[in-house]
Amino acid sequence: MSSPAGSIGPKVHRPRGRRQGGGDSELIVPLQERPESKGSLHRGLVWLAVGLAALYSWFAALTTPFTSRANVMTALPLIVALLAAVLFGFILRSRGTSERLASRPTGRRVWPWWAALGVVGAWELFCYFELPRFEHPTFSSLYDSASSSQPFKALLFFGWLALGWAIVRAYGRVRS
Amino acid sequence: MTWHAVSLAIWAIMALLLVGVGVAAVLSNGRLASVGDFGRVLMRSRLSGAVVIVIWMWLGWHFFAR
Repeated sequence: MSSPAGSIGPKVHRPRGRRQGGGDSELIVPLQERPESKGSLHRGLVWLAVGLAALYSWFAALTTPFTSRANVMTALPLIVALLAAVLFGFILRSRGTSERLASRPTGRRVWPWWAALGVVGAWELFCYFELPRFEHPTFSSLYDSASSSQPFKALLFFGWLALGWAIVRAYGRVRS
Repeated sequence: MTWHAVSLAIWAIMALLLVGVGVAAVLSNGRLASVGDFGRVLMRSRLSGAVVIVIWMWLGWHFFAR
């Protein structure tokens, strides 16, 4: 009695690819790069970048504003971001994979975001022009109080780096 | 209640407002733009994208270097 292939008996692992020749001297030619290995490599690189960014944020949070160390630690990501924005734009355009991000209308209302940002901006301006600062803290003065905690400052720095990465990637995809 | 406490309370309301818009976008079943949609609107052209990058750079310099 015959059975469907693969339903009974031990499974034999066969490498994927095109066979050339016959018998024992078969040559397996890979059809293409395995997507799972490419994906795991990409995932590994992403986690490496995240780890390096976290480490960098930790050391950046150790610096004191208005010092040359703070200037350097903040300026380095700025320079990298500028270079990356130019590079991403160049690479994606040369590959022809760039896309106009806003050319895909979502039909979703954006005005609540503008309204919320407008309200927050108005409140920031009101606090900025009102004194004393203790009674009317601006966003910056709130940050100054919070940044005395080094882990919190490191977290904010990491968030700033992540935001910059997202912005630069999006910028590279925009076709002018 | 001091002005300081009032100001802090209003800042907390501002934070809740932004979070609320994000939550409302998720719950709106696609009628309101998500954070990602809003980001795409901001990055719609080279010029607006460059402005966003400059704002990001200024924020970092202002908070971490100055």
